[in-house]
Amino acid sequence: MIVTVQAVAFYVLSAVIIAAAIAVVRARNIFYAGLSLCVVLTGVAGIFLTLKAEFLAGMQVLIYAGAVIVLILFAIMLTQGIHRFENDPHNGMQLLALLSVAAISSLTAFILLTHKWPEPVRKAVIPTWESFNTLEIGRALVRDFALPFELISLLLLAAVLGAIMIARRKSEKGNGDDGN
Amino acid sequence: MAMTGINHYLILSLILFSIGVFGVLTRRSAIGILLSLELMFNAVNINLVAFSHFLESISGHIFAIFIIAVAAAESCVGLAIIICIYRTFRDIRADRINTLKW
Repeated sequence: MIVTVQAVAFYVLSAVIIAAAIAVVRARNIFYAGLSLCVVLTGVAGIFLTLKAEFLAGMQVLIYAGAVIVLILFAIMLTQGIHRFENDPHNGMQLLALLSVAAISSLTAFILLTHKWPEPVRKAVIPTWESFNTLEIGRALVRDFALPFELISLLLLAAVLGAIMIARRKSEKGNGDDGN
Repeated sequence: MAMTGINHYLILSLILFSIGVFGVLTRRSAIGILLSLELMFNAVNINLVAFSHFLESISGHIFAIFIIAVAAAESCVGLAIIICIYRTFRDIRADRINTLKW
């Protein structure tokens, strides 16, 4: 029975995600596009839950649907405002883009549907797989992936510092002091 | 209803990625391009987690975590650049910003 519930959840979430994603690329108001992106991100968190990745689902909601969406909405409010409806939100290449995207995606779909994916290799550590995903992630992060894990924090620090430097308003004197 | 295999997730990921590519190619506003970019990141994450689940290996989860962190950094810097561009040009439509030197 649990398989059926998972399948139903998958199809419902897929429909929501695809509809909201189309709204993201088609919306005439960029603020609505940002809110639709929030729906997509929450739906992807649900997809993670159907794949038994509860830690990643939590991360997705916290970081993406929380922090990144707030950042994007603030950027929208700081630049063009939330109530501007553009008559033509797209450039003139829709037909060309649609054709190329359809060609590439149909080719990819053909390849992945005809490919035979390998069976999972059963390892000795697998018994914890079903119930303790988060435990496994924590172990892997401090054992096998300790160096990338530390580097990613350095990358985040550098990115935040760089963002502050770029977005800071330069003073008129040009000596780099904060003129606010 | 049939059980969902890995192909279901890959097709969903492919559709989401294609919509993202379409948005990047056609969106006029620079923030719209960033939003479409986030769609593509999420398609990749679905792909990684699906493979991780069906091949029963934890590595895909780790890569997905790293992708989320890198995407957060990317949108942080990207939005800062967009705000900086808006201060200079008073416009963030990507087809209007065609000056290399101000």
